Amino acid sequence: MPEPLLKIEGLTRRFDVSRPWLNRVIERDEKQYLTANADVSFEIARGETFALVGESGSGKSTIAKMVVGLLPPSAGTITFDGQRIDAGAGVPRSLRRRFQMIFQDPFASLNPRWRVGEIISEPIRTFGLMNATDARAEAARLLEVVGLSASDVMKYPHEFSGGQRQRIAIARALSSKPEFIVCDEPTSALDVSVQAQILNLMRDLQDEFGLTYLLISHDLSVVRHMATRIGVLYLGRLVEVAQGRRLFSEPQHPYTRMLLDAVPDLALSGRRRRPVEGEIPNPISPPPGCAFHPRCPLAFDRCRQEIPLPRPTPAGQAACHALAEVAPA
Amino acid sequence: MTPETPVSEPKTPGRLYRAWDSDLAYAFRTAPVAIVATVVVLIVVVCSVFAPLIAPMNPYNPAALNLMNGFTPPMEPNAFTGEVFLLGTDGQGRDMLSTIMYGTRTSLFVGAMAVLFAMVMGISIGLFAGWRGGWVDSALMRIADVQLAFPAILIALLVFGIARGFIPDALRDQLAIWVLIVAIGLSDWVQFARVVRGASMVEKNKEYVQAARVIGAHPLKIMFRHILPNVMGPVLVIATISLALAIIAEATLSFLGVGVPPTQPSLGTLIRVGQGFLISGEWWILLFPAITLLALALSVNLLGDWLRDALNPRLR
Repeated sequence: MPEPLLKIEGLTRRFDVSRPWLNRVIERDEKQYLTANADVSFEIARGETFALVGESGSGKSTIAKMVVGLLPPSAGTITFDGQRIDAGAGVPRSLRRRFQMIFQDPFASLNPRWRVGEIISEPIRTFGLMNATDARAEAARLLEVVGLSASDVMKYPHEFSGGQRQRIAIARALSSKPEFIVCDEPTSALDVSVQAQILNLMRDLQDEFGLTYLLISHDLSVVRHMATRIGVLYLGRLVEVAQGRRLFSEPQHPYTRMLLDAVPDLALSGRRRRPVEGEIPNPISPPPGCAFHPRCPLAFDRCRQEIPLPRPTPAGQAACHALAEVAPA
Repeated sequence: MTPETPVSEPKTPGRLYRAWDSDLAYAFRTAPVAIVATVVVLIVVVCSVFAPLIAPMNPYNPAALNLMNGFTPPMEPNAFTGEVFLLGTDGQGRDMLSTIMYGTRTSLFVGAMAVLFAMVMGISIGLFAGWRGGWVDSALMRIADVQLAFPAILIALLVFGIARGFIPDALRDQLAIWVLIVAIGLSDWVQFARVVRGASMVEKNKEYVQAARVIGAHPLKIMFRHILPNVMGPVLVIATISLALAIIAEATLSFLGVGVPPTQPSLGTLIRVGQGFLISGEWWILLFPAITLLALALSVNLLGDWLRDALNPRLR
């Protein structure tokens, strides 16, 4: 693999969810932490689409927020194009221009009091890339790039549908000419009929501008359509990483298999459909050992004691003791 | 399902048309109370702002006064000079209509400036508290709570008393009006701060604010350009209701004799002067300023109430 554009090592995020200080002192409570992500490591090569999938509460969005600098990591490093962003240090301005984010809810991600032209050109103005006249012209041009009309710059967001708003959000993300875009559930708030249009637009833009995507989604069909590589998250830990198609054809980790079995579309996996059993445990007190063992059909003693480390699989890597026992690496 | 790509409209309607067509304008056209209140407020505001141009006389120009005109009842010719005054005259022969116009001018100026002062202070503190959160927010809001526990008039009196100790005698009359503005404004900022803080805590977690943070926009820019425009609705409602309260507060302070100096009487001063004549039968000196104050405060208040309802989508 060539030098990755984004490299994440041992990324961990804990949230302090303790009760207020006075309550803790009076009721002799301990401080409580919620571990949203523990020791997540992966790499994204230039030009690829890396997808993160997982159930609600698996820490997908927390990773996205840490990558773009909205949340400081508790531990671990993020390396973007060779430049390390350490835990605790802010993201340097020179790097900020090179990555962007597309958000989940197009009804919340555009300031309702701003005209579309202002919204799209905000990154241009913030980074001082162009003068005001050029920025306005660029906003109009970008609107046409994403399939809207150049005259829409004077309109307000409420004059557009959900799909159109997401196009505006994409235009804004493109305006600072980034190389890397984090897409946090970009289609989950849209009508099914519009989802495919937005995804195809994203792919066309990727080809045109050589973009690299980190795609966060819980929708396996979206991921299958878009991703070159896929990481599966469970309770804040990366349990499996595999090449896009092969994750679907030969899932390794029992959790991945369980997810695929739950997909309603029979043609997708070719397996007998089975509902996902159990629920994701409370991340404040995760189960010891492998966090998945209470739901895992293959769990044995070792799973209850020892956190599994990622091991290479034919198409990537997976963190599971059962796999290691069957085929020791 | 319509196609995603819209056909561009031939031309977007003008700003004026859009304003007329908006929900707020429609709500206004269908609310008789709001229309009547607006008309009353407009009449009072226009009459007071243009008082030097339209008032029958300048009541504070001693050369224009004729003591013989003193205590002329409304709409009756004066016994000595035969002049007729619409609302009568006071003891020194001042035309009450002109006096009220000039007095409303002072009242409105003090009220509007006090609300502006409270608004700027409250919005800044509220935005900052909401944005920073944590102990900064707690500290600022506890200060606000403490202040809220005291009646506004008491705080205004306190500020007034302290200012009186600092300002030299020579400047006292000149600065009295500004002291009054600060006193009323300081007693009123808490409401703005609380509302703005609450609303901005909701707004700051929305994705458009996150989008601005991703590109590293300056926090001040996010606060004032992104969050503030989205919390202005409730602020405008409070500002309107506060204006009515500020006008009444000014009248109360002036009535108590701690407000504007007698050289620049406001409605409150006029009422204080007028109540001395009530028992002796010159009722008009009290009644007309009082009615003006009542009409103004009530109309502004009704407008504020209407605005609150009209801007609240849940009440539609």
